[in-house]
Amino acid sequence: METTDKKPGSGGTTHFGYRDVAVEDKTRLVRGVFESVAGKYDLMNDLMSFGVHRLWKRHFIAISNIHPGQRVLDLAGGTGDIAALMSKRVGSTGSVVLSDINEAMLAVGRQRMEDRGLVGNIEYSLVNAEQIPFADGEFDAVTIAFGLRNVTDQSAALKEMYRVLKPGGRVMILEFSKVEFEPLKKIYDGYSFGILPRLGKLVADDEASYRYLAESIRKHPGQDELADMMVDAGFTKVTYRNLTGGVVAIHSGHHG
Amino acid sequence: MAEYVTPLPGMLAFALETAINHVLQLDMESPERVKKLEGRLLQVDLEGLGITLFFTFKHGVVRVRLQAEGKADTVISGTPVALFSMAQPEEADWGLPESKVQINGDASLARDLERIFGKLDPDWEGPLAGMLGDVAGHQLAQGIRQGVETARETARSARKVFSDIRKDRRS
Repeated sequence: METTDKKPGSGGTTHFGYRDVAVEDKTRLVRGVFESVAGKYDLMNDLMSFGVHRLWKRHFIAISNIHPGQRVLDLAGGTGDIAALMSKRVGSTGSVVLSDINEAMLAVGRQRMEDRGLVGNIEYSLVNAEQIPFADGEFDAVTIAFGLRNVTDQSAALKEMYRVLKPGGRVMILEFSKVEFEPLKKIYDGYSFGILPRLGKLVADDEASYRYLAESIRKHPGQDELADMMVDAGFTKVTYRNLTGGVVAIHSGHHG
Repeated sequence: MAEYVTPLPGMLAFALETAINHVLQLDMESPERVKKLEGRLLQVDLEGLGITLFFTFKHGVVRVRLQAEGKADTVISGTPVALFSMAQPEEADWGLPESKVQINGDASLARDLERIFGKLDPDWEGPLAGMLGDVAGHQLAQGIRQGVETARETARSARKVFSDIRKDRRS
């Protein structure tokens, strides 16, 4: 985990994939990656996960315990996979805020929601997870899927998630994580660093972005480390579950 | 510390960890119960296989490894069949001398684990219904429930048969 100060203007550094960059630069660099891949984001996810990301997301929603009538904030919601599934869960009496820091991603997400006929209980908001522009205790649940590793100051983002949750509310984080089973790890590393960037070049003519995505996964905190960060942010009942041998993990925690 | 020639012990640890946590996480109360074991180290010696597994507990998750730092709080030894009886809390005689399960160190850890598994009430239906739809999820959950009960019944019957055979040989 990074030990440097990650507040903008602190003069500290943080990671951008395997590179150390100034804290101020990371958000801009990540934005560049996602502006580059926005149009082919689903294809990218399919390439990174062999299409299994669709099952991970469905499982993520299935265990979310979100009920009709609840208000949910989906951070780094990208092209809206989670928001689409969530909007069916909360129903017409509830609402989902699909948010992303990146305008290009949010535009793709909005278009896709409208194409699917999902209107009425979905709002859209340009949101930096480190400074969520909503009131304290506004949401029953906050979700973030495959987004936290791209946030510069993850501790600040977790504290913000805690702040906007109602007492008893729940945060759920779906993110690539650490594979500890050695044979699976070797296969996974070989694929991520050997094959994935080449596929990125072949399919999207963007090898650098795909290499960043693989590197960012390795730099992301492991299961226990992220759970510790959640506890530090104030969450209670923090736990996690590994999916596909730890390739991804779902972390959850409660407010109060 | 044991060094293994084949990857099979590692695969066993990985499979066991995955299976245990999968079942535990189907019961929403389990993570909080497992959290009470945080900081404790359980060593399990699988007799006959020559494999030693170490169980640690953090954030409501059980981790199974082939190596561990520090001295185990509790060491449980037994054949895989004898240890399987620990997962049958309704027939909790594994702590008795004739059970072939040996416990050294803090026996309360083993009892705590037995209580955790004994209180398990997995919600098979919720996640399955979420993924497959209400009807298919319900039917599959029913099938799993019946399968689990059948497996438990089979284990009970097998244990009774073995117990009867032992008694016959003694008499």
